[in-house]
Amino acid sequence: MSRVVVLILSVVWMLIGTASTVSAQSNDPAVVAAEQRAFRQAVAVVEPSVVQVQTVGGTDRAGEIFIGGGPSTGLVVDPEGYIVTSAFGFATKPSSVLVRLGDGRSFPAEVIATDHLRKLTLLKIDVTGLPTVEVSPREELKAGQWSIAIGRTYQVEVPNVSVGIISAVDRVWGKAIQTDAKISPVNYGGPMVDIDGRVQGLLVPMHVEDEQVTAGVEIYDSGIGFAVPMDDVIASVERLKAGKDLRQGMMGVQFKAQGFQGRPYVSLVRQGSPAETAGLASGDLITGANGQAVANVADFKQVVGRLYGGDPLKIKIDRDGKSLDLDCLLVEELAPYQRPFLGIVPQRELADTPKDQPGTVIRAVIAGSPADKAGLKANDVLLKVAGTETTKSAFLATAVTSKRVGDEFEVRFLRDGKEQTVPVTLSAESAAIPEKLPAVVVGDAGDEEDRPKAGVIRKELPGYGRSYWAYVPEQFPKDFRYGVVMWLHPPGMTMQEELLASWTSVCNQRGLILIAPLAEENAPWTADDLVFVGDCLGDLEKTYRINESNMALHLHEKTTSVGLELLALKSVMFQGVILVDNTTALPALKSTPERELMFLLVSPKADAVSVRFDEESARKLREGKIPVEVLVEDFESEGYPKQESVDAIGRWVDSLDRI
Amino acid sequence: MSGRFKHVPLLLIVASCLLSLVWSSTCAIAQEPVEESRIDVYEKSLPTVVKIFGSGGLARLEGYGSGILISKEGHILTVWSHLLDRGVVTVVLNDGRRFEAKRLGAEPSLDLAILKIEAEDLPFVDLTKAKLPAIGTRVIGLSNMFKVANGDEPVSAIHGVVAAVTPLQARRGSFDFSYQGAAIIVDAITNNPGAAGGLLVTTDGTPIGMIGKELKDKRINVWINYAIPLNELAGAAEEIITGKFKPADYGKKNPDDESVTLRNYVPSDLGIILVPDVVRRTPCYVDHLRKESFAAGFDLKPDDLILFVNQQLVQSQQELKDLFGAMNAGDPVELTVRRGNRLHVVKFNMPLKNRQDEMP
Repeated sequence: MSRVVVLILSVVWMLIGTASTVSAQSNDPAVVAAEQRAFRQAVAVVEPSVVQVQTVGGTDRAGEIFIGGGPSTGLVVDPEGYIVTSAFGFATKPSSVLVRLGDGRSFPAEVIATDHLRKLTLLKIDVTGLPTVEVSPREELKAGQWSIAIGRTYQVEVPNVSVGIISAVDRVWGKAIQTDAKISPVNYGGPMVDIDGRVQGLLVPMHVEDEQVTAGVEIYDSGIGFAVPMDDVIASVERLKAGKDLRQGMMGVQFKAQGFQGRPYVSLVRQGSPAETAGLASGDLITGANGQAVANVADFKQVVGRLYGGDPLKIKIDRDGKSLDLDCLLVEELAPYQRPFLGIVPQRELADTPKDQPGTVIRAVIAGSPADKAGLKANDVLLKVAGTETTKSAFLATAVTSKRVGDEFEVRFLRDGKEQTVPVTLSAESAAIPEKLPAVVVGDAGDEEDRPKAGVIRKELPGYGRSYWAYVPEQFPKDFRYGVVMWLHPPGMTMQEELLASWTSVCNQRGLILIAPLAEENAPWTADDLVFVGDCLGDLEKTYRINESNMALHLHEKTTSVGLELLALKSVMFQGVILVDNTTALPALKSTPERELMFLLVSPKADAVSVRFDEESARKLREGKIPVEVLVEDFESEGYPKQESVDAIGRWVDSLDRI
Repeated sequence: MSGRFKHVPLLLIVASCLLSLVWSSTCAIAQEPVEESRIDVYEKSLPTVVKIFGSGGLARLEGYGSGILISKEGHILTVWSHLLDRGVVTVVLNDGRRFEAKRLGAEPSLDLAILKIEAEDLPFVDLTKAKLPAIGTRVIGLSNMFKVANGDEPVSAIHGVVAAVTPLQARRGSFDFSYQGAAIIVDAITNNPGAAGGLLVTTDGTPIGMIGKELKDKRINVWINYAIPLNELAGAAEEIITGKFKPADYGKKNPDDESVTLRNYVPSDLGIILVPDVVRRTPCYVDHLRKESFAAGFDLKPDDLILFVNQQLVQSQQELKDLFGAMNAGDPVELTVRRGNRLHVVKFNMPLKNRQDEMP
């Protein structure tokens, strides 16, 4: 009997199934109308759980993105007043959050915690009995299914919708499903539902390569939108309820392979990382993770990419032909990275440098560094370092950074026509100022035609109605790559004269451009100025070639905090930060392999407060393994260091490309 | 039990037969031409949309646009734009015929202009048939976007659904856009260069809107895709056609139309002292209430955050000043205030302005 039932049911099912497959592309008006009705019903089913999220206060911009401050959307995930939304709405750091329900009620909301991995924020309002939603299980999500994106931004009374299909599942390293519905700040934080009104996921901006909260916004409404699968949202919410933020789980390995398709051979295990604790070593090949087979780096990222700090990870490795299982406990944050250091400043490869150099010429040796201890000297030519031929300084840099502090290896070099070999032991990077550093000498610009303007220039930046000034040395040829010192002046005084008096000779000697964006008259720098400042640099780069390994940010008392925010921007990369007369407490910064950064703190002897601040700042920076050098000097009466000190600062900037 | 249900298989067979009967009959009904298919709608609506060529071509202002035929004698509804500023305005019909168009009139507040070509028996959109669609309604947008259509090629179609119907709060560059009435927001990327003046129609053939210029939403800072409802435009269009409407001066937008910022009241007039307004979006936190002032007895405390004034969200002190500034003595005021995790309401009527003289 039951067989017959099954048979009949399956016949009926097949009929319906065939009909609905056909309908996806039907021009039959009845089908079109039925689908339209189904979209509306799906919205009606979930709409009572879709809320509007309003924020008050905060900045206009989050990083480089202008955010209007308008409303966003949230979804009820618990009748007891828990609402999940996109962390995007909080990128401007608002001071107060308000949730408005479709039925007209408004509630002040408390931000409980944020999931930085999936870019979700959990809110709580003081109410019970909120309507919740039905979830479409993750395993049922398939490309081609209808996906209806719902927001509550234009009006609090009625939701706004966009209809599309699921384009792909398991996108952005397993974190998201992709849809061709139009996803934008108009529906971030809202649900994406299927044709039955079951929630498939929560809409958030995402980017495959960039984890910042606003990354992915730039492709809004493009037909590529993302949603975090609702099963994952619920799992995240259960953890967020404890009030602790969630972050990407970190393991602390780097792979030899450059791309994602390469095999995951471990090239570096970070000191003190979970990978090191688990017993992973350089040269191991990862073959499996949490029960999934791993053939390439991408497979591995698909597994690890969706895990939080605190999550366990089982890895299977191949070491010398033997298979091993290792247990790893991921962390939210790795111990700060100690950049290994040889202690040399390489000779810069200029346009007239011969292409067939046998090795990297040492321009200067940093006192007390491993190179100094090993007896290396300026003008020695490094031929082979730790087994790598160093015909270019970039090869030398890679050879050193793929090692760890304390690693020992041989250095083969050429001195006076003779090859020699010495052992060195890498130390942690030092920010010491080289005592001697030859000036940058290149062929004279002479009467080169179409050479861009040099000397003191002042330029208004189109679109801002604001300007910057800069000093460009006169004598360099047009293809010369300049180092850069960006000066952020204290509010109310540009100090242009003092700066020019001190820096002109230094810039000439060191091939540096001094650039100074101007703050709005008498106004302090704010986070809203960051994009302008970044664009000034971009404008400079349109005219002059820039050496991206020698860029320093020069701050003065009262510009420290905004300057540090500038460091966080991805588009502007400084390797050095010069703080003069600083009286701002530095936040805890941490060194990472991705970002080379060092500090030079200069305070006037006479100012005990500033000296004290620098001591404290240096201590904090050292804790974060960021190289720092402290100078306590007599200042000129104008509150700026004497020429001698500026010369030293110039040498420091000129040696930022140290290895 | 089993006795009661022994005919279940039979019942199911009958049921499924019935079901398939119902199924096939629905399908049969659907085959009949009672409703138009999307293709019918497309083919019928297409000839009503025209390509317009006029001034422009410089500084990212396109020299092309779209328009909708709204009478069989050749009246054309389009947007009021630089395209019509000077020189010859050329209209190209769906069949490739070209006409020099006469400017009949414009209504800048609706961003609307009416053109006229000398032709007869043209297919047209009957504005009296226009409706406001519900959210989720499937729509087709027809326009000369990006000038993809060359010569006598028909304009381009794009499909989507109605995302929202909402008052337009948009800006063009850094200026607020003049039209602030209802807009049909769609989830297709309809508002492209040259698309303004195009037609938005539902998949059952109901004309609903004229695609507008490229604008950004003021609050959310995203480009919006929208059409202005035809029934908002029908009245002015009719007046211009019948000559009852005074045509506006082309190219001259009166800057004096911008509303004057009123400053009738500021919060401190009442004795409500807010924290210093230091950043662009300083929230309206109460610092203190001035002693013996009008507000002295209010249930407001330091650190209370004023969130709404008469149900309108205030996100910054500037917004609060704007709202207070436009009020008059006697106006009822309802402040919704956040204290800790609670909202509470303070109600009063705006006092006579000269009361502040009595304030110490």
